[in-house]
Amino acid sequence: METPQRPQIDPRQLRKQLLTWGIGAAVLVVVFTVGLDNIWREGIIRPMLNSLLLLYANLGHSFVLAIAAFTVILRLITLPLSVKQVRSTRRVAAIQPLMNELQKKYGGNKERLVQEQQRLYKEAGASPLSGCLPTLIQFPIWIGLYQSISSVLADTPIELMRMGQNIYANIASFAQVIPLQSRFLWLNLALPDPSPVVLPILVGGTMYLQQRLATKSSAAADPQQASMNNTMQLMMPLMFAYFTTQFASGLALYFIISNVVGIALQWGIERYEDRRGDAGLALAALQTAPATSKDKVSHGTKRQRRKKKR
Amino acid sequence: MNKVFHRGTLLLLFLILAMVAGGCAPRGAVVNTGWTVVAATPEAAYAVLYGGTIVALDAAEGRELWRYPVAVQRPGGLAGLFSRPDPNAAQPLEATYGAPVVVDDALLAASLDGKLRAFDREKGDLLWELQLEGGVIGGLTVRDGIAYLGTNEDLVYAVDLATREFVWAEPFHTQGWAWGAPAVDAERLYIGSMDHHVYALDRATGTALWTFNTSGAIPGPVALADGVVYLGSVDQKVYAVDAATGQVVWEHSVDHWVMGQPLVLDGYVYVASLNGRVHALSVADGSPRWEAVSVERAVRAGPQALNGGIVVANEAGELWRIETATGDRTRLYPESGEIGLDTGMGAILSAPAVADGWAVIGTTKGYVVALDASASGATERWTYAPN
Repeated sequence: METPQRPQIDPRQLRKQLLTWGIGAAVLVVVFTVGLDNIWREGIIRPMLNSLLLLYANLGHSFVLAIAAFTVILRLITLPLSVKQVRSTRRVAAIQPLMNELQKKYGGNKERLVQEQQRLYKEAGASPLSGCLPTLIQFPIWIGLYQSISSVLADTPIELMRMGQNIYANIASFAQVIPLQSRFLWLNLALPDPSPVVLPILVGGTMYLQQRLATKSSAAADPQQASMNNTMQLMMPLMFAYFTTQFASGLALYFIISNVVGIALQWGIERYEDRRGDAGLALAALQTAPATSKDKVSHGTKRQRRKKKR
Repeated sequence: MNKVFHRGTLLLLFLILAMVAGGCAPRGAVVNTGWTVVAATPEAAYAVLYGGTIVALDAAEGRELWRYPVAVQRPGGLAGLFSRPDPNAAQPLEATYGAPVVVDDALLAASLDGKLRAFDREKGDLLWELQLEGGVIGGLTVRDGIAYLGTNEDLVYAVDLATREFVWAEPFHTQGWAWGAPAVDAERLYIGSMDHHVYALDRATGTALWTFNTSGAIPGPVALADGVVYLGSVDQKVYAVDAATGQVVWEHSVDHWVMGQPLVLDGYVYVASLNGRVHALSVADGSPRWEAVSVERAVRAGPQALNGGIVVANEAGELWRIETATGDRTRLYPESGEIGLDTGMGAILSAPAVADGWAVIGTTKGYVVALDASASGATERWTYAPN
């Protein structure tokens, strides 16, 4: 009688798992002891608001320049995430033909199909969800920035008071720049665009361009996915254009600048990845791979594959 | 066909989502509702509630004597998104940050839409209204039948209440928002501005007599006593300025912004800073009477005198009494509950109104609380809850 084989535990996987659980537990402890409100205030709002003020004070008292510089800094901080997002998107796109083959081959066996798809994603170093992570991380930044901009451009005593409570009181030079100049061209940056079409069109237009560029590289082979992408490309800019009619025009300027910087970064990362040829590598490596899990041929880790190519 | 239907459905969903999200969006920059501001006489309290409704409340029981507007019918739910207010119906005031002022039989209130309105104090009828350029943040000061007020279009006005005409040939132009109510003496008007200056103007002509520069914006009203103007600034200082010449008498550093009006009482000036500390400074040289006293949470408005002490309200919705001689503090309201913890009735960001042994406070959620003041403390007389 054959004794059941105990599953092998990879020590590295175990360490990784333990580290993840440890970090998760530490985060929970911090959240419960410090409080979510305080974490949000001290970790997001205050640093953002004071950074904006610092930039404003040192960039000729121009709030538009401050927002532009702030956007560039934020984009640079989140650059590794952006690179990861683009890389993942390209890898997903690169393995799409293999995915279609799997679909044809195992269309009748859902369980097997999912297993094979997961194996393919793993071997290509891609994840269909990893592209969402940078976007999810940016949400708190957007919300924090909205609150910071509303507060920094205080045009009522309540907002001024909120700014006063969030300012680093020991930076004396801030007192000299308050209240901030909220006029820019025809805009009061604390209020929505009075026109009210220019900023919504610019926000919607730049966002559409950015999304178009971002999804170009992923050109989904699946018609349903492509249709969904096209719809999202239209919906998101429309929604943000609508929001622009409601929000402070300072925030709309942030969206425009952020989109333009995003377009430039996307273009730059795409060129970099083209030269690096990572997606091609993933595809080439996988094209030689058998599509069934019966053949347990390992193609090595990502690092090993890169090394092999070199 | 399917694709067209698919897109059409998504577009419809988008429109619904956009409308709902637009209705729910935090439109802080678009909608200002102000905070509750109060005035008190021995017979009644008058409050412009958060949201712009004015109520007159009986001093004894807090019974509503009248309200303006009488009724505002706004449908709720999705229907509210499509409703348009009747332009001929009376509407609540736009955001009001300055306390209403009782002048003879009238109640005056100025709001962010730049309208100065007068109401019949007995019935609540709107008597008249006057449109100014720019919104009014700081309220108004009345002397000899003339109302003085500043706007956020950098203008200072003098309005004759009898004729509803402007006294000066043209309003005085500052270089920044004029948020604080002015202080007025027999000849001059003094007003702080967000352009970091205090201006002294000729009351008769509106021409500038002197200006005094601080290193920060002046968001609150200035105080005037015995020929000296006292003011607090965002530069974390309190200034005493000679009202005749505009020369600084003394300045004293506090540890945070001062947004409220200083209170001058028995040789000392009392100021509250945004980090919730109350300072007592000698009018002679600005030296502290006692170490700054904490009231636990941020204080926006200035202190008020009440039965030999001073009272200060904070953003937790608490009212504190501080003994002027010793700096000892007592929480007057609420009478129980954890100190510094939100009362649940909203913050108190406007100055308490004090009249003839009773004090009235208004919260950002529209509650109005009346307290009976005594030498040792105060007890709650009544609480008015908004509808």
